Amino acid sequence: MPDPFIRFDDVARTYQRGSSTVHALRGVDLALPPHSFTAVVGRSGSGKSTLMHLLAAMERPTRGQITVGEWTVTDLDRDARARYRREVVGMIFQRFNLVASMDAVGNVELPLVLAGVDARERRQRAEAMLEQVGLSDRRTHRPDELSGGEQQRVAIARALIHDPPLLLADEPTGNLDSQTAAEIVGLLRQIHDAGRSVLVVTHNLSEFEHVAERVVRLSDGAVVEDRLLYAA
Amino acid sequence: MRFADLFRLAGGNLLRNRTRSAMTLIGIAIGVAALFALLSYGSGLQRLAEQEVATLELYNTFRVTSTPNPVDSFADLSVRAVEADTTEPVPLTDSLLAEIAALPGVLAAYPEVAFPVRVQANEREVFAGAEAVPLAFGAFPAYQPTAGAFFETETDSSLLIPRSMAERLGFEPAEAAVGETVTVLTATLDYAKLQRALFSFGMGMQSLPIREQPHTLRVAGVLPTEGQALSGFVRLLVPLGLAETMQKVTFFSTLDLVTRGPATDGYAAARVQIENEDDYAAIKSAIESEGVYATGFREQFAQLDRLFAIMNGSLAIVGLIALLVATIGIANTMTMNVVERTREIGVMKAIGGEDGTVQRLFVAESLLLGVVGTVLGLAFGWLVTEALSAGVIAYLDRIGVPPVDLFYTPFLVVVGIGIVTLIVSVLAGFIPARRAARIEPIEALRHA
Repeated sequence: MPDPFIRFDDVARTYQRGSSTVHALRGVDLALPPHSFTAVVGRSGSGKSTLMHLLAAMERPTRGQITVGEWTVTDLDRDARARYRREVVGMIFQRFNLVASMDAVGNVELPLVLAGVDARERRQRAEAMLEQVGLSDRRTHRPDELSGGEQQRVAIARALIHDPPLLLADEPTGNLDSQTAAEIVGLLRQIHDAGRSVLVVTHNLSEFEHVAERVVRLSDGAVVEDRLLYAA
Repeated sequence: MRFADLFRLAGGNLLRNRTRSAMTLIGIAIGVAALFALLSYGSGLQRLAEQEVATLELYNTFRVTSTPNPVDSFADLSVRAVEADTTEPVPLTDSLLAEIAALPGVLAAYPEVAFPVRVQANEREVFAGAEAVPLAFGAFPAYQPTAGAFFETETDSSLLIPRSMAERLGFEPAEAAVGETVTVLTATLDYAKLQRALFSFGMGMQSLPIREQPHTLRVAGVLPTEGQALSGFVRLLVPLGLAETMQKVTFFSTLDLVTRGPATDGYAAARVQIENEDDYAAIKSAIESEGVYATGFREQFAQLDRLFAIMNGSLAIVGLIALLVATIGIANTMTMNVVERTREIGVMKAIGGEDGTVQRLFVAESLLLGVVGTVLGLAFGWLVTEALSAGVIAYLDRIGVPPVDLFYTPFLVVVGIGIVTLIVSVLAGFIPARRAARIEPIEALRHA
């Protein structure tokens, strides 16, 4: 087995809710190889979203260490975590989270704006990315003028515009009908086939069973299943 | 993030809620306009005073008195009391003035003669202040008539009147007054009434023992009023020799009486005009070595400048209060923007935006509000001062007073207002921007 690209070592995350302590993750150990397609499944409250947020460096664990490639995510300060998200991670969300005031191409190029990329270059890259996700004719449309599937495609294009090695998807089909969901799953498969690691958090494994190589099942903050569906 | 992108995004964000941004801009513009108008007014008054002093050559003039000049303590707020002078005053006699006039660099030394008059012609009348001047003043541009000529002798039965006074006396055009005679009424003591009062020990004296003495004088010339906006239109000039022979009382108000000091022989005050401002200190010292007191108008106007500084400061404080209200408006707008865009802030952070980038974006929005508000405010302030100025000029014209531009805006005032507004804009946006920067992305993404 090659060296893992993503590694969780005894990662725990607790929240204080009033006087009680919620254990979102309890000492998770995980090792995912490069270019893997992993589906993290579990019931609501099982800790799967917390796992993804920790991996995106949007939260810090209470205990343990997370490494992604050369990055020791748990050691990063606030600015370094932002840089890590800018260079390593692409994120898509169940609610798409597009900026309502910007058109499709504006949303897609936003990570490059934050990275200080030249206007002409980022516009070219954003338009090329929209073409890849099949939305080149919708580039001047604002989010409220796009369907749910189209918005998620824009979100995927935005997540990939800076060419990250890792794509994190939080319930990416949760707000879509089954046909559109299937299209998005197919798109994620293509992204993985292009050489990226993909980690999907979902409560509906059936949608990803035929594309994910690995399933990690969480229950009550602990990994209760970690199995290969098939080898890459 | 690139600088241009920062402001492009900031501008776009402000346009998203146009009504709110417009209301905030109006608030800033009103604050800036108020500050602009008030400071322009203060600067305008100061400029008028300075122009007048410069035009009348007062920067090179001393007022010489036998006793210390108490006017200093009126103008200089730091002087709470003038030390009582117990030495015997040196009288201001003609011989002393001749000695002073002979000092190198002195153009003229002459007794100060100024008195209130009424001037009548064409069945009209104006009140004025008459000032006696020596022949040497004919050399100064401000004393050169635009029509007619300066006095030929010290005892000419003639006078010089300002253009506006000629017009108010019914001479159209003003130049038509040259060569005409006018009646000048001076106030003088009514000895008969005074005698009656003396015999009755002051009982039954209902009014001051003063009567008017008419003098028929020829208008030798018409004076310009440019640069003498504050007093030029009520001041007429008579030759010094003539003034000394006219029956008159030489006080304008009771203030003149209480500041005159103990009665001495000689003149109450004299004026010394010097040729070159470089000789100012040496001549002052030479005059005071005679035992009299020389107060430079230059020093008095330095005190006046201090009073103007206090006035301008007070006006600025009033303007700044308006600006403070506008600043609170900016802070309020930016706080609402942060709250409304919390989720968007989370998205920006999730895709790699740093705290500093988010903070700069909100500060840039605040700064943009400040810049646009300042430009609008300066334009609005300019329009307001122009309109007020036009109104004042029209009013003065209607009552026969030469036009006066009460507003003057030095470039430094404009720059100062701009800098202050931009600083307060940034400060007003800083706390909301800081708050936006510290938002945890995961918390922000959970925001509805």
